[in-house]
Amino acid sequence: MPDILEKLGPVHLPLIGNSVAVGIFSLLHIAFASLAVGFIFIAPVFELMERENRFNTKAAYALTRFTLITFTASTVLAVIMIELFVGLFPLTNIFVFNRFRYPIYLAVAAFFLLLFSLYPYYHYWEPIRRRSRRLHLVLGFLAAFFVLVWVTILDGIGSYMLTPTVGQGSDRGLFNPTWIPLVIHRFFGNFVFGGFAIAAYAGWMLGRRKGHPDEPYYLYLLKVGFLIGLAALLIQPFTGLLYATQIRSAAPQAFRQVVEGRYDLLVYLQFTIIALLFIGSHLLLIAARTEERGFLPVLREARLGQRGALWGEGALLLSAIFIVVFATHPWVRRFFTLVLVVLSAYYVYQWRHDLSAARSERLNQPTVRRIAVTLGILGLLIYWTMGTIRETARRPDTVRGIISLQEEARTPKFLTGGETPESTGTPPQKGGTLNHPEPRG
Amino acid sequence: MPFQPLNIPITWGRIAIAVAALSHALFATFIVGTSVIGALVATINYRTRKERWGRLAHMIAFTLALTTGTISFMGVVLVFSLNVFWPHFWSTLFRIMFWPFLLEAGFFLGEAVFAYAWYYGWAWTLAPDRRRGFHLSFAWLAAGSSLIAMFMIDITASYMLTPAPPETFWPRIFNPTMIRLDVHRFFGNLVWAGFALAGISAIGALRAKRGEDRAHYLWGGRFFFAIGFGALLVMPFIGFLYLRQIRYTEPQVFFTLMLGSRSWLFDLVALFYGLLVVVGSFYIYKMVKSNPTRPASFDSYMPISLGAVILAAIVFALPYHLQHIPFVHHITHLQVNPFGKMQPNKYLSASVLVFLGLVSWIYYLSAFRGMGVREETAAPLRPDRTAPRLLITLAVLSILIYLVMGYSRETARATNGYLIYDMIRLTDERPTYPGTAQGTALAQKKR
Repeated sequence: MPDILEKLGPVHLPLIGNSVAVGIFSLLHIAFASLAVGFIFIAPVFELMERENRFNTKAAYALTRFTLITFTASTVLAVIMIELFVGLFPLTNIFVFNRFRYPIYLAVAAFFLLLFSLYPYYHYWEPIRRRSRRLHLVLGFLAAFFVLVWVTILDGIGSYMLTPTVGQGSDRGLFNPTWIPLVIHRFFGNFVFGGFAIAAYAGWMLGRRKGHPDEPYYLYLLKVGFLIGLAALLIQPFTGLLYATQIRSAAPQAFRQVVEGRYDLLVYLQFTIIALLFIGSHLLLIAARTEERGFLPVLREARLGQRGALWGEGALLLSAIFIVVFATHPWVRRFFTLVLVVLSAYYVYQWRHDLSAARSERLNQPTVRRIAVTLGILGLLIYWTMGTIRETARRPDTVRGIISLQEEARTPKFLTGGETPESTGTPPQKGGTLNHPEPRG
Repeated sequence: MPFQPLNIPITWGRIAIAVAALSHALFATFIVGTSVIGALVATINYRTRKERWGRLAHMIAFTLALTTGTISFMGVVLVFSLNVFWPHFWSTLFRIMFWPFLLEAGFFLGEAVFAYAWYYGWAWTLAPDRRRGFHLSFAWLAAGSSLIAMFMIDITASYMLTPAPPETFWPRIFNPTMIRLDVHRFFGNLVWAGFALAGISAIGALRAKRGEDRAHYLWGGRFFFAIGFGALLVMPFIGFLYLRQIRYTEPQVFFTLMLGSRSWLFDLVALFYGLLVVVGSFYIYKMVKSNPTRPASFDSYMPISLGAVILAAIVFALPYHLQHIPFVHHITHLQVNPFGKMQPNKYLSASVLVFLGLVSWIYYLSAFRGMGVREETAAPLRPDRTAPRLLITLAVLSILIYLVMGYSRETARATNGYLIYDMIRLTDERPTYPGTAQGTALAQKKR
């Protein structure tokens, strides 16, 4: 086989390059996949709480419908991503699939069962509910369980590529230092994006259907989506801290590369988006308390004459600015993040009644709708930025310390039993490996 | 961090890939055929604005949405299986066929997007304005995308059997059997999708509780049958051209399939083909008889035709080399059956099957309008269950013939030790399994 491959040479995608090509499809895939995972969890919970609010069942159905509609597109994007991986990074592909074959068997089985629970859950919604509401709920929660198994295993593979273990068994790769932290971080991340996406959709629909009979439904959706997104956002700094700590202890060079390396701009971008998410959420809370229109009147109406507003909200705003300014100084940044989280949680608690009591005249106004849509977009951007950071942290390796980009760039020399790319005699290349990192600049 | 050989026999890997590939191909080809038929039905619905065509189109769209979701999962399983069980072969094939593979996935994505837009945007069919036309375009775009995706994957499938030097681009794409396989698959997909949709309609008819629903499903079954049976009659001609090209390009494959150790698979294909024509003819007989205004000649033609078709189907399925049929040596020590010769017996029987099938099909089409009148005017006391069962039988037979054909093509390579003919051997995958590694067939030739 190498004979054939030597004749053909490796594939180099023109203009964008191999890594960017895989990256584009990964990002497109996770935009749908993260929403689907979040919605698969949220939908049965909505349905379970149908007696709490008459709109809950409708919302559960709509979320599942979205998941089903985007399901195939998301899956095919993943297939394209893997195919690019096979064609552009054959060494890494073979290595990863070989190493994780048993978890992959389990993941495929979980995916298969996911289909068998999700499809009847949506396509036979009414017939099953007529027969047994409990059975329908069981199907919904089973789908959530199977999708959790699926993403947990995929996170295991993704985390291994950054912090690989040295165990020999095929299943040992999963138990790498950053696996569980990544699973937790992504789990809540799905709700940040999912919640804000629901709010954004509701905001967009409210703008299109003012005075429509569905208006109360979208108002409810906006409030609930916003609260889901904000609640998960308040948790994320802690799960992120756990994840970052694990990366630093398991792969200090990767951590340093992220924070101080050539891609540190991405970290600034990440914390800018996080700060905007907090500020945007706070602005939406303020806007929900007044019937004024426009940002400045809203701020004036809600803020002037209130004792402590200057200090509390000034501190919130400053903390948001400081987490960006000190993005590459972890301890300072963490302090301000904590302040930001505490203050945001305080204001949500204080104004919870205002938000739940807010009706059309307060929520269905351009300011709120625009903030909601912006939060949805920011939710997607933060997902993409974080995903990109995690991938760039591995550079110049594809599997950190095991396979380098440079090895992939040469004509593939396939592994045989008991070999590694390094043991096949690949000399250190310009790109370097973990022990010989690529020089900056 | 060593690369770990799989601690299983290579046969397990072959079985895993065969199961993943065949199940994937079965659904994929169904989607291609269904999307084309769906676009056709949607167009008729668009032009006629008749409710029953709309209902039929909706049924197809729903089926397409479900199977598209399933096939995307099957695709994941196939890609994962190839990565795990045939990593060397898969990486090499992918390198050779990088762009066709990517384009195939891209066009399948297009099919999924348009098919979903078609199904989930069904409310647009009721719109009075341009949106109705837009909605119809989704059906055709889905069909077009799926056909191009099929074209792309056929490039790879045909290349594996009749490859060209990997470093030449166009010969790689338009390898000797590429076009023939593509045409063969196009009509094969129409057969399979037509009979499968007829089978689904038949199940709907058997399960229907209202007479109106039953009549609709029976009518739908008749329509789909017409497509499936019509395409079935074209298949022997295309199959002949395809096999002839294989004979010229890779004679070893041809002889393996026609006279060698895998010739029993061709006999099995012939058996299923004959059965499809026979069962189809019975269905035609039953349906045309239900039309009171049928041509007078039909009543005298059809019994003779049925007898001749049964006889031809038996001859067409007769094996020539008995010793290649598994377990037959327990029954007889004869090595050759002279009646199973291709020239002239099987050619003649195939001609009889096609010719009489064509005449029956023409009778069927001419009597189509008058069929099932009683079903639609009054609910029968005892609904007819034979016709739906015949349609279900046809659907099952079309699945079987599809699987056997797919298996024949793949095993014709593997029997001779190749994964890509004359280029990559099965033994090249040895490093994945415990054992010794050997060079490629090409490499061995060079040495």
